[in-house]
Amino acid sequence: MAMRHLITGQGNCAPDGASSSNPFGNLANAILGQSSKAQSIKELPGSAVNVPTTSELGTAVPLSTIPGSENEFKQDQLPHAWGADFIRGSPHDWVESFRPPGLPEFAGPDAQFKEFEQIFNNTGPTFGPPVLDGPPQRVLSGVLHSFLASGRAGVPFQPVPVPALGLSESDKQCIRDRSCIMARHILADQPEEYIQAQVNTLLHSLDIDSNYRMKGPMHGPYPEMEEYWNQSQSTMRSAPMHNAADKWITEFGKQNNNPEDWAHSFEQQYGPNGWASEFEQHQSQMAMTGGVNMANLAAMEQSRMLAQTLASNNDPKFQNSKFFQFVSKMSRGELIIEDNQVKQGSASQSSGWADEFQTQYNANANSWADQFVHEEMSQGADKWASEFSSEYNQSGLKENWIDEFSKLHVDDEWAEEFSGGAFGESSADPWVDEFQNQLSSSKQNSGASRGVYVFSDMNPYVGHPNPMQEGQELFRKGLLSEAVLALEAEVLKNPDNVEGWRLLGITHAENDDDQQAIAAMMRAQEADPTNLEVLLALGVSHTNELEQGEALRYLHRWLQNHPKYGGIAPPQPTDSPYGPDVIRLFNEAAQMSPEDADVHIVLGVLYNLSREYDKAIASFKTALQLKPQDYSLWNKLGATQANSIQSADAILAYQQALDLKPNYVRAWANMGISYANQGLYEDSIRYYVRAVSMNPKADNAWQYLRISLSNASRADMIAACDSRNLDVLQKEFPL
Amino acid sequence: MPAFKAPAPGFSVRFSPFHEQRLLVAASQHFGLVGNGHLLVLDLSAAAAGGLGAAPAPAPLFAFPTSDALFDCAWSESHESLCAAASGDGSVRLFDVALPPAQNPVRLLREHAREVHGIDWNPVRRDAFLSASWDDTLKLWSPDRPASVRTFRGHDYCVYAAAWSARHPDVFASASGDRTARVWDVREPAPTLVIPAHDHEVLSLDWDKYDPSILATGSVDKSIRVWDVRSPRAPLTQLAGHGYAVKRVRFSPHRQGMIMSCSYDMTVCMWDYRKEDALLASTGWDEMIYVWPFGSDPRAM
Repeated sequence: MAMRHLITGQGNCAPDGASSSNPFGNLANAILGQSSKAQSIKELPGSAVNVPTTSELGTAVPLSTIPGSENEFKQDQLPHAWGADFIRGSPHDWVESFRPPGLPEFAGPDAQFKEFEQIFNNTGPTFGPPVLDGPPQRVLSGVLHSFLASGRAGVPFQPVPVPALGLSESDKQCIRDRSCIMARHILADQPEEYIQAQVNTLLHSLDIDSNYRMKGPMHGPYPEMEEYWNQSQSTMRSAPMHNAADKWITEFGKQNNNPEDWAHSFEQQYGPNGWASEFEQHQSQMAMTGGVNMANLAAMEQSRMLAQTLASNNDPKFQNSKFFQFVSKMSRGELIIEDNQVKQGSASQSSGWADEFQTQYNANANSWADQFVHEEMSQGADKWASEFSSEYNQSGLKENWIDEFSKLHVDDEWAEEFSGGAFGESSADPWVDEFQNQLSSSKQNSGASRGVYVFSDMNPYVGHPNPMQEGQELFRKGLLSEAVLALEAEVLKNPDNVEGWRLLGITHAENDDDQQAIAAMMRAQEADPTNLEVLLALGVSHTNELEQGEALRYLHRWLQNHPKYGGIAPPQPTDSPYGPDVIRLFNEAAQMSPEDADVHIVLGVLYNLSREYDKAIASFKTALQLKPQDYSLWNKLGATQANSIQSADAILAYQQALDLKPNYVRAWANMGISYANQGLYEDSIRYYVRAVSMNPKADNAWQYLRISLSNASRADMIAACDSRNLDVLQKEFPL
Repeated sequence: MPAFKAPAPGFSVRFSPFHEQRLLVAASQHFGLVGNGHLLVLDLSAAAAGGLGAAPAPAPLFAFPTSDALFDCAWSESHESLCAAASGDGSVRLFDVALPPAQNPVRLLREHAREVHGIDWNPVRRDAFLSASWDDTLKLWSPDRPASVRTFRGHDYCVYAAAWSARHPDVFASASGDRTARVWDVREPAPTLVIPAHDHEVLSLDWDKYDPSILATGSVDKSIRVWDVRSPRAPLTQLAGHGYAVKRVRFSPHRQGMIMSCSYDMTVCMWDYRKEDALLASTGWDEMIYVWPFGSDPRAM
């Protein structure tokens, strides 16, 4: 392509066809000299600078009628002539006008062009599609989110352990530098040491070396304060400050040996004595910290209690309570991004492996209900979330908001892809919007981020005499999408039908729709808090979402409520069971009855949580010897193998699952992921296409498909993927 | 009200100077700490045509993913499809939204050593724009030149924002974490005015579009201060009410004295700085809008 075409874009840059409206074209014309000067002059000034005409603004009021513009803007329109001068081919003068007195002249136009060409050619090849290699999405979002949330709530940041994220060095540096600078904006009320401690905790949790020199803040540059902070923190409230001061001075002295020292620049700025006064200021701030934190903690506790009554309180003043807004908003993960089309990370690869644990469990466990209810009450946030969602669901049902919702569905595929689900983008009701935020945001530790269940808008099974039986039948046949409709009709009819909700959740999980699966399971748990199958399903779902604490709690409860193993587990409710303890309890259970496949399955899940994949694989294999026909168990084995980088073995396991249950959408999708992990993108595409043609609502699979298409250099099919054109895709990628 | 959910947390929104229904949006994953960025062009007219009842989402006309976070964006004042974005990788990227993503960015300007956090196109001299960077400098660019025209040094810490005067083609102001706002004339080597504007970092600033000597600054100290650059010793007024750092402040192009601000406290506030009770209205994440009658703002206490 000729240089000129590259620059002018052959009119592409100028939709109105006037290539001269393109500044690059103008530059090319001016510099390449291929359009005569007379021509350029003739075109000017009207087209050289693309001033909007009235017609371009449509019915809009022309700019000149902006109030005050008669006085303010008229004379400013003159620079058109200035622009014209420039385009006529004398950038030299224009550039000169910027030259501050005393600086050397800029090179002339010829030199400029050479320079331009050189740079253009150099950077040209890098103009291709940007490298989308974002770090693993969900895990990182969760950690960063809780970091910011803790910052605003004024509580010390306590990260959950995260798996190795494979962050690149540059990623790490980005997080290090930016979190440091941005944390200071949010945590302005806190002393610098506190900010440093918060940031360092974040960096440690992400396995980032925090000793790297960070850019210090202007209002208190103490990049080396971490150690000091950690030591002084414990003594801060009682011990006299001079100890801490000595420590600081020592630090300071050490730092002075550093040639490119921060202290030096600090002195420059504040004068030799600046640091002393600055330090005094910090002392007084620090003395206050303890109290402030306590106050914030108390306030948060309070707002949590307030939150419980939120559903019945529509008082705008209450809703405007700012602190409450913060806490509730942040706890709902409102600021978290959802997975988008960016390359999947280890988190999303693992999402498939365990969701459908539930099917094997047939035990009933009503007798532990009392204890459980008691336990449930102690979990304010969860309780509130379910209250909130159920209230909304119920009142909504009365008002037919579901219908309204369906009207709001996004027409635009693009937007839908980003919205992370079947939710509309806007609504008249702020509460509905909150729910959208809640749902589309990435999964958080708090149960509050689980959403309401979204019903299909057109359901032929509403009015069916026995939708439950129909749903079970359809599920057995593997007609999952149909089964969903029938089961939805059932739970609309009988909202307390635990089995209906449970089967609905399983169906969604097998159909690779996690959000709906979780929403349904939460309704099931609400109806029967001690149902073993439901507890296990929730434990597994949270494991999939890498939410260790929640997962452990549900699995622990499963053991407590089990008629056979209830004796092993201490009966008192535990809010945060310790992982190794739970594993130990389940190992005891496995010794008690080694023939119980369920226990081995839970052990497999637990070992996945602790990322001991070899043990997890062994547990699942033991369970499979007892239950060789359990397709979901094969899927779990496959997903675990995939997680421990044995993608080839994983494919064999998935194949077993599909032989047993050919309509198992999740296994098809997982198969695709395994091929993609081995770099076999063409193969992965075929499996993804199969998965999405069986369940066109499987958003994750659509996203994986898009990634594989671009990795396989099949950009030609991305449009078909974006428009979800199954016909084209199936024809192009038969399995 | 039409709402659009960006693929990631939004960092900047700008109306097109050519199409009043067109918005440019810069968004970044993970709060811009790490990950990809998105530059989006939204069309509000599609939303307006959507009919009664449900307000449809503005349609994204174009979407350009980038490999690093985008912190700010600006439309070209000289070409309807040209725009610039400030990237976390230190580059300034020019996009021609009329070209497909594969051919964008049309220009990749790599000069800043650190994150570029602010960008502003000169509304008077329409072929120039500024970038403000965490490398403590600002740079002046022309879309027709492959390298920056000038670099402005003087700030001692991150520069977060730059704003051209609406009247003077050569004058702009910059906001920095060194707690100053500086006024520059591109023909002068050094800042013509240094205002120790706040006791904390200054994150944003803007010029009054009707009175070319009035400047508003927003700071981490939660306040907005309005300055007359002819007597910069003390602010004309201070607007209190935000509960967290003020992230961005902008003067209305339509009404003199009107300021909009947004903050880490998740609210957007509307002010008239010339009034004694300056806060006119506010809105938060719950989409409720509060109009504050005289003396009633509970947060101003």
